[in-house]
Amino acid sequence: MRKLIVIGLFLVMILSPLLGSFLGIRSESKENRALADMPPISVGALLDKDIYPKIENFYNDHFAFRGWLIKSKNWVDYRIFRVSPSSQVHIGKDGWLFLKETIPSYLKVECGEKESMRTLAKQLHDMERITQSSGKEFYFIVAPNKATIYPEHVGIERPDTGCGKSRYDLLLEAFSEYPVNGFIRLDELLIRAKGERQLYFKTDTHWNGAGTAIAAKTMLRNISRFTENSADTLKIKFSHGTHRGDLSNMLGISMDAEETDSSLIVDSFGISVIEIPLKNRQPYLKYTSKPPSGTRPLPRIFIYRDSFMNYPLELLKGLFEETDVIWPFNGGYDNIPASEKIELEDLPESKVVLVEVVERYLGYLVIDTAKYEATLKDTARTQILTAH
Amino acid sequence: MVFVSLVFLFAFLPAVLGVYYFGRREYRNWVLLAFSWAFYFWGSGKFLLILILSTAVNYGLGLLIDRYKNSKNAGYITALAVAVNLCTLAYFKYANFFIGEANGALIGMGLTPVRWTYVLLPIGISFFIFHNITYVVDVYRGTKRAFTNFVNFALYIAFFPQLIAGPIVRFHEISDQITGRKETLDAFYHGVIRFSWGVMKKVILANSCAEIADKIFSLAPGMLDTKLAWLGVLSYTLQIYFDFSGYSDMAVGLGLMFGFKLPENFNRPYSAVSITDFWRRWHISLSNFFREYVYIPLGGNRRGDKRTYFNLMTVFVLCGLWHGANWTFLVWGIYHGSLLMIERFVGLREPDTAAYTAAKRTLTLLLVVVGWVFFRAANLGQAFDFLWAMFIPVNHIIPWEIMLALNNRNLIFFFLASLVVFAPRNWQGYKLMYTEKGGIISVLQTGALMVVLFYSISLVTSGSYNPFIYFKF
Repeated sequence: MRKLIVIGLFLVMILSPLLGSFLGIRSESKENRALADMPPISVGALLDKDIYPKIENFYNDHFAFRGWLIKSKNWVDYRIFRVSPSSQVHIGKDGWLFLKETIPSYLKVECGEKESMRTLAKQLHDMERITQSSGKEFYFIVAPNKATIYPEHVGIERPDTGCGKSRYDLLLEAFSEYPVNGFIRLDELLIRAKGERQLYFKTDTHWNGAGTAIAAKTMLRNISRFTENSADTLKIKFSHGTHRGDLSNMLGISMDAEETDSSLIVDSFGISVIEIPLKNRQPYLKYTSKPPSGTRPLPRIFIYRDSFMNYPLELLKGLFEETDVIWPFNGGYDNIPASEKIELEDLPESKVVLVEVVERYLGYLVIDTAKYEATLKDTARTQILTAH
Repeated sequence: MVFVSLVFLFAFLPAVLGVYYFGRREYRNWVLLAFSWAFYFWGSGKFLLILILSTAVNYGLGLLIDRYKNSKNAGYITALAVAVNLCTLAYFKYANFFIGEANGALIGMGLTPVRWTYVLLPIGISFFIFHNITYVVDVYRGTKRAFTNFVNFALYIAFFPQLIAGPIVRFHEISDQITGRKETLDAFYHGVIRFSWGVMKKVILANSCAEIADKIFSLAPGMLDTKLAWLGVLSYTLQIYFDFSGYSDMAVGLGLMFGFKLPENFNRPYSAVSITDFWRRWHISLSNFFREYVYIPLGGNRRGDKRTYFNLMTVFVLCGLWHGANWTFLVWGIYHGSLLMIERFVGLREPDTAAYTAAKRTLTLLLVVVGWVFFRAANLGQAFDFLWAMFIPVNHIIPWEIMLALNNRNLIFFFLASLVVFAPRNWQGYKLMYTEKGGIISVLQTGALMVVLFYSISLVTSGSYNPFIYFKF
């Protein structure tokens, strides 16, 4: 009897996905990627061995019960072994999650990046000079990695040996050679403020509402024309709810209600937004606001940004007469300028240029100062419009 | 296609079992051959033609040997057959290596290197060529008659459980099963258990040890210290055993599902009390092949000590090279050959006390572990750097990448895997599942097997799990 049961269970196990596929059962796993497509099948294609790995990839990504099996394995890894099911997520102390990519910065073992950070500092220095020579203001901010603000939760001992410097440290050093006067430093402020309130999500790479409020107010205090609308009178309210972070999503298990969120509620006084699709699938955003009578908006601003500006934009977008936002991500790098047509139209019209990059992507920020200057001075647009 | 892939587990295996058992009995060998060729084609594409051509040539030569077996011609044809097979193997497996080394020497002497187009290696060629050799030699010796039925012979060569990674099944071990086997419920049941056991060994134990070993072996020499070197080589020692023996368990299990009893390939090798004993327990089918088709024809141990040493070293040089075209494998083979010669010279005594047994097991394991350094290293330089770190004490901080590999899961499975070193010499883990105790124990056995198999399959599935923080198009 036992033999029949064992054989039966084994056959059920190996036949279920096939039966599930016939019955149309799908169990998906959210991975933030395009799943493999089935390659075109023909007699000729079947004679080429290169098609079989593609078929296999398609099957691996689409067979019935896939999501359920992955969730089971991830649950065992995380709940029983306390091991990260994702090769990109590090589990720190007290339920704090970190992106593994940020660990070398935390460990301060990035001295090999000295020359690249020096190059970046020079590019920023030149970009500031070019921007200011066009009569515009320039600001640069680095959104700190979570591990920079909360090293005590990482759970890995920093080595005594090694160079003791992160990419960000090297960039700060390089600023002594190539100063950027519009650099707005956030890390020290956030470290000072973290004692009063949690500033980053435990299960997300990003700052939460409280961290965002500090970052946004700091940006506003530094933008020189912000004279009438004081950052301190920015109307921010916090509401509490649950948050499911991008890092917990990558663990592939149910982690609902893992932490609360202090999300922001702001008065939006008539903000309209236009979203323009771009080649890199990150839409260009154009906010225009109609502030209440008696208040003067800040001048038009052009922002180069990444995901860390999502939250601060909720505060900032209503304060400027127009806020143009672009995520210049392309081919694995943040390229300035982004070489988008809309950028050619809006950048020369702006009065303030802000560049925001998260600390972990400092090595991927590439500024072509000659192209930027051409874009800023309308030369490139004139050439393209003339060509058309 | 590999056994621990979703396509094999959920598509290929159900299909071959279904067609095999629901089709007519007289066509079962056809079914297995068709699926075996499809299995090979999936992973190797047009190299299937080499497999089929090699099969056809040896089929024809086998018939000729059988026809002329009472004359000298049989010997000549057999020699020709062996030469053709060895030349085929030499060309695909070793030509790139030897031409590369020769060109390096020529360039060093200021001469023009030989022009050479890189030759791709057909998967499993080492195994199916050896099967061809056992076939022609067994037919020549009269141990078995040649197969007149091409399908039967082709099945012997291409049978998918053994095709890619063995065991090396000598023709006389399986010929009767090809023509007259009986599939039973009992055999199928044992096949399911062995297969599941093998999946667990490969996916859970071997892969966990591999994560640790791979990270340590990829360290720069300056970051490798004594504790990490030992941890790395011990992890690899366990990885290679569970990986290879797991695969053999799966092969044996699959064979049983179709009524075949394939030979055992491992018998607790890390319990060996000497290197001689180790080679009776490690990759047994390979040892049997070399003993029967190389060592004994060379004279074995019947022509005096010097000849015996020569024969031993010849076997192990060939054994080393068989594993791969790299100096590291050659050195590994020479290392084991030398140890066997020393044991022969010194004379082996069966251990008669527990303490002596423990001491001999420890020493043998240590010698085997040292050998694995050569087997795993990418080149001789890395091997010697590793050995230096193992035996010349130096201490560094553990790099964070290694710390991450030493997570709870890997440490637990590394610990469980290491128990194999300490278990009794003739204990086989899978028999825990075979032995029926009845009652609640039976329920627990079945439950444990299914849970472990389910977890193993979920690990295989998660091999394709690759989340991104931002959407990747």
